[in-house]
Amino acid sequence: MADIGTDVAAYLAAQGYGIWKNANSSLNTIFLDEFQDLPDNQIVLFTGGGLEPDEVQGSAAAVDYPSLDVQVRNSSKATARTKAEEIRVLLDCITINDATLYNASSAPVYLGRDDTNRHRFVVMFTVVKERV
Amino acid sequence: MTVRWHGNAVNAKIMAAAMDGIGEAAEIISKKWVETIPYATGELASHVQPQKTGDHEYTISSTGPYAIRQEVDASLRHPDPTNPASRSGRKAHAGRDALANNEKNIEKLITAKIKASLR
Repeated sequence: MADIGTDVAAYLAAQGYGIWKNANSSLNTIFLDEFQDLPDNQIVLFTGGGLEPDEVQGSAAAVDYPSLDVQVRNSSKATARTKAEEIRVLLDCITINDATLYNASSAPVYLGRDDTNRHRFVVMFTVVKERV
Repeated sequence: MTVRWHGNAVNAKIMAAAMDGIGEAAEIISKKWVETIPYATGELASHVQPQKTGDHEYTISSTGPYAIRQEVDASLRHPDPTNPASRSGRKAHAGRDALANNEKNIEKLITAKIKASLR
């Protein structure tokens, strides 16, 4: 069982949003946890602790609620915004393996430009994942 | 037999108790938020405050440079390795999580307030 970031990265790549884990790493455009200096246009997924799990005393079963943020960086502000919104709609209420994603925001949030003038937008999700 | 209807008075009592509970809940959420809000200068934390913004509404907000970015940008590191004043144990989504993690507590608090007001 992969973690949710890995699962979603693979899903986004399969949907044509970028390249994930290519044998030639310089071609990759989807990453986990941290931005790479290049390429300019990339998508990075951040998994966070999220909310407290629901647990039942005496049972190993539980429901976890990690958070997942998808940041879209692009040298074009309009492209970054459009891609972020597309991903927000694409991933809402979708189940990938054993986790279901729900939008935690109703629109992409603009994070400004980085040091080299590349624009970033973020869309946020709450993940519901059953632990059996 | 005389039946007296105190419906309006009861409604008013319930609403007053609920608003009392929501006010206290807003204070609790603020404290929880301050515990994990990104911290370097202390400006964001010092500006976290609940405010009654409507008849049945409280808003908890913070202001300051980069307040929104600090809340939603998970790429920022806590502590910030480039800023010695930055504290560990802080995170993005501190405000959102403080509220969501306490939804059940808020519900219980308001329920208790309403029950107590009707005794």
